[in-house]
Amino acid sequence: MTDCREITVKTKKKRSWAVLGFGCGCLFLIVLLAVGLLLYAGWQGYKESPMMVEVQNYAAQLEDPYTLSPDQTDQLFSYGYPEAFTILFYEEETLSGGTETVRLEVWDYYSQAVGLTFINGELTAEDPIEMDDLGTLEPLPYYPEQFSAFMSLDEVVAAAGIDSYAEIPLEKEFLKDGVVYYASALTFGMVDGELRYIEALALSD
Amino acid sequence: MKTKSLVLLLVFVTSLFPLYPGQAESSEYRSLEDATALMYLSDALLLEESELDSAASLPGLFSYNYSVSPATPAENMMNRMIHAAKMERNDLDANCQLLVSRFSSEGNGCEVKKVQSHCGQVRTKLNNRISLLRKLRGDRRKPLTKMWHSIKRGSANFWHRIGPLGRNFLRQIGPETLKIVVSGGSLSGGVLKNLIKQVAKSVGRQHLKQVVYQGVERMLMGQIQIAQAAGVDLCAEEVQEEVTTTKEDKKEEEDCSADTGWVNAYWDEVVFASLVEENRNCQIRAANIYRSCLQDQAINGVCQEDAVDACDQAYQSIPKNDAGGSVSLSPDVVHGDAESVSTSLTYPSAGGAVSGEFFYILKDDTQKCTITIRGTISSGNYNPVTCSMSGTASLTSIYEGIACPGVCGPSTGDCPKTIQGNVPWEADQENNVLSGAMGCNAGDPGCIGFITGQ
Repeated sequence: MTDCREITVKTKKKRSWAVLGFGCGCLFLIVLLAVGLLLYAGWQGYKESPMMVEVQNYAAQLEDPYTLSPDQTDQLFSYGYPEAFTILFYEEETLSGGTETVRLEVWDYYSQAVGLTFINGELTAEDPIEMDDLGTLEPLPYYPEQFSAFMSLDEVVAAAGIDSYAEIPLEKEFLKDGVVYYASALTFGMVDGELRYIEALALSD
Repeated sequence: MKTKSLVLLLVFVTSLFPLYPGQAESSEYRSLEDATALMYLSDALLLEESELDSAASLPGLFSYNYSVSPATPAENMMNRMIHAAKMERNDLDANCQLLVSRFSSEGNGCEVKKVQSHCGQVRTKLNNRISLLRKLRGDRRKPLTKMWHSIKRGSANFWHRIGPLGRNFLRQIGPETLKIVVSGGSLSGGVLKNLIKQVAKSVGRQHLKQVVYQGVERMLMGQIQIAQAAGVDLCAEEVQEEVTTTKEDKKEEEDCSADTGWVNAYWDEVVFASLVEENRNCQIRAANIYRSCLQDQAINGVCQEDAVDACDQAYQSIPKNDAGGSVSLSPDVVHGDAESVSTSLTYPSAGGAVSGEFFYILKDDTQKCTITIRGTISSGNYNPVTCSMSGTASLTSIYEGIACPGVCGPSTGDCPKTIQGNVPWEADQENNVLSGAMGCNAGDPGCIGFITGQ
């Protein structure tokens, strides 16, 4: 009789330990999951957050610098360097079935009231810019030939000599893997880490 | 047995994920559209808050007595992305019209078709983008999603602490990006300059349009060349037809080509009346496609009767203005922060009296001010010929909270404050979109902009 009681007590103790162990295990698992979820959420939030970035060092060297075309050189002699410019880089299908890189750029000369459009270096349009007096324009610290198609972020930063910039990731519903950047008198956009658009902005006093 | 099942499950689950992320992606080339999307967004991120809502083509509808800024940077960003897509769509329409009229005047019918087809495709893509972003914005206002995003924001600080040096979160996208650009690349100090695109907005807008126009024109000409090289050539078919035309036919064609002015007269005397009668006159875009078709035919020397036959499909494609009878709509309020929105608008398709009511609440991000806005149409009339409606409405704005700048608060008198009055309202129907405004003039107690789903 006494033996039976001892066995029952021992079994109960064993069960209690098992229940306790199971409970602790579940609790540990829940805590682990919660921490994992928080870390994952935080990482997502961190990746999606707009950031101000201070450049620590200039690592990249531009492998394939752009050379101005004869048309562009002619316009430099006529008008000088542009007071603002926009460059789009993209690809087009070719007759042979492949793709060709296109460099579409618009150079703006506000003080001379003219805008020049070049496609792959060829002057395709010369449009008047209609505007009132805007004060004294700041000299633009960038030149079109500093930027080449599909440069990496490091290359753009090094080529433009940027100290700090804002990085704004885009929702995939707008443009998958797209990011826009802002620096002093400069904005540019990248897709998949490749430069697709850059604009040097005119400032005045 | 259990182990075997587990292994099989593991194999199955593993196969659901690609080995490399790149494998799941399509091998599309780097498109002009991606580059222009970045350009428009970049521009939108430099705008001041008050400029954002002017994206729609209805000037004057979107100014408010009291501007409430978006609750979070993410929502602000979303609004700017929608704005950018809308601006791109507006410019696309303008550029397409320019290209169509240029090619039409040069007598290049096949180029016109190519432009129309390309523009239609890009427009659909942009509309999809806008819809997706709107849906995303709506989803993020749901309580659970809101909670998830607040967890993300909170936990992101951990990664910020252990992440690379020299990185700080941006809190106010628009003002901060502008400051970085105009103050020498930082948020702390620097002499603030004027951004020319901000000072002379028309120049900035023209610049964007010009870049896109050049790109689209070149791309289309390239595609036409490729199509020609592949033997798919609309122009060549036209040439072939010309060659095989008999001398008699040629004479007739020459007779018809002497008169291209019939399109306008035919439109004014016949087409417009038919469109009104068939309740299809508010479909401007589709009607313009039909008109372009007639013009192309006329330019190519096709006689009126044949041209009308040739363009019949375009005419039949013009959809109805609405379902007919008494039409009831529930338009969206044109304000990104409107909450508890309730709207109704009813009008007779054949013309007549309009009724409706608009209600929504605005809250500022610091919870200091809540504005309850209600507008009730007291009189109004719909004109089915002009596709417009107008009348008067009773508009009430109730300002509650601690401080509503310019209306009530410590310096301007205690809240709550109610402002009420009768205001004019008007709306237009175009391409299945009804858009309008109530109030919005100086001295009105408020301003409600509304639009049905686009």
